[in-house]
Amino acid sequence: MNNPMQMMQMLNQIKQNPMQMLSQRFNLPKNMPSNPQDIVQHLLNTNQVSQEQVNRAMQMRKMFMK
Amino acid sequence: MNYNNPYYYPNPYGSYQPSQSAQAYQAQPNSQGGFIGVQNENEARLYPVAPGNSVTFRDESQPNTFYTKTMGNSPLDRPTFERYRLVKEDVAAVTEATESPSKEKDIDLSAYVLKTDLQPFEDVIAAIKKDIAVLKDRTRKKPVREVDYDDE
Repeated sequence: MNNPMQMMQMLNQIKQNPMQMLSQRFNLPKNMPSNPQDIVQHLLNTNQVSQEQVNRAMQMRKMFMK
Repeated sequence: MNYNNPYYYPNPYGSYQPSQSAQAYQAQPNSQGGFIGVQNENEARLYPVAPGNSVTFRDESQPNTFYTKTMGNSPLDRPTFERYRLVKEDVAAVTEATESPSKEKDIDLSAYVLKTDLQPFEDVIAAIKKDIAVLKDRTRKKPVREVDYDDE
């Protein structure tokens, strides 16, 4: 579990450069387009996330977008 | 982990290890229940789907319209996208149709005639057959005329 300071650091980095954070976290290829759909598809193809997790994330995104 | 080292600072993101749940899920395609609500067909087409999985969508803008997006086992396979429309059926009518199926409804009866309509033709055919039999009989009985070509 990350401590609050680490969490703050992560949040700041996400705000400043989300692609860099994602690349570090999930080992994304450098030529990966910064399109959310392509990134999620890559994570599914490499078995880093499950379909269920994607479904839940998409549902949450939809709720926030409303 | 070296928490005793004052200079140790762990990578806040760590190195990702595929979760057990993600791997277990891959082995059981179609295990998620329900439908994913989408605003339109394009949203369903762009929805990320794991290899070897199929996701069913319900179009929230068009009633009774559903889509399925199926990915092949390889990420290189092209996804299959299908569109479905749900049709409500009258239960009483369906039950009646299955209990007493009337195939006549599906057959074009204009291409058929009744037996009574064929009766005059049968009489005509019988008369023709009779005439043919008489003619055959006559040809058998008639002697063949012998012609001697040497006389001429």
